[in-house]
Amino acid sequence: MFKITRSEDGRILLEGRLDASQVETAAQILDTVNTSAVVDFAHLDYISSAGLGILLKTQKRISAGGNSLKLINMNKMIRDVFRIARFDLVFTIE
Amino acid sequence: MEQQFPKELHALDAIFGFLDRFYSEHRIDRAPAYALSLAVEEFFTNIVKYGGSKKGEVTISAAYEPGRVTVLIVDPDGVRFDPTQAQVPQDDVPLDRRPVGGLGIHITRQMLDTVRYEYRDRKGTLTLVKNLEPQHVQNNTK
Repeated sequence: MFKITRSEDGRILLEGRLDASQVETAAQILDTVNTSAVVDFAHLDYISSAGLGILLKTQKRISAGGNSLKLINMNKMIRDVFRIARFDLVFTIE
Repeated sequence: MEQQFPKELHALDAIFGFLDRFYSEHRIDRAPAYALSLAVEEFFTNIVKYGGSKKGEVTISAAYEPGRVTVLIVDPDGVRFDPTQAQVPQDDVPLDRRPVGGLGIHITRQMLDTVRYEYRDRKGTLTLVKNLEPQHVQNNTK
């Protein structure tokens, strides 16, 4: 299962497994992001290239206005996926 | 273990369920399990999106032996697709021109120990091998 929500303080919270079949669900929230935002990975167990793709698409779109996504609380395995994909050079990861 | 899956993205839930049962049965740790699940998703998704045929079902089998897991993904009817030819992402490509296509295959090749592809008479077979360190298996006596 995958879940995406927006907290009262504006953070985007990811939960579960973000795979190719869940990209449209993720897009329902990510497509509404127009300014810099924090994406919290604390409860995300898994992401594939499809998930990386929707994050990159969002980053590309908002960077035109000088905004960016900050990704926080990744587990080690997801961090490894970002590193291998070289996405650690694209996003601010804390 | 072996199971057939329709060539639809919604089959991913069932595929992950199948793999999770396999990991649980053989007490395989989260890190190699992640690498294998990622590889299966990336290759299965490629079959669904670019395989060129909805005929037949994809067979996924997983086998454990001490020190390694081998997963086979068999598409009985599709076009040739050689994942060993995926391109490496280039750091010097600007953000707005950075492609996502091929990325998943690149990641899985980095995370697995063997990715082998065979194609004959429209049947494609992918062999994925992940070697296991002793800490990747918890007291496995099977």
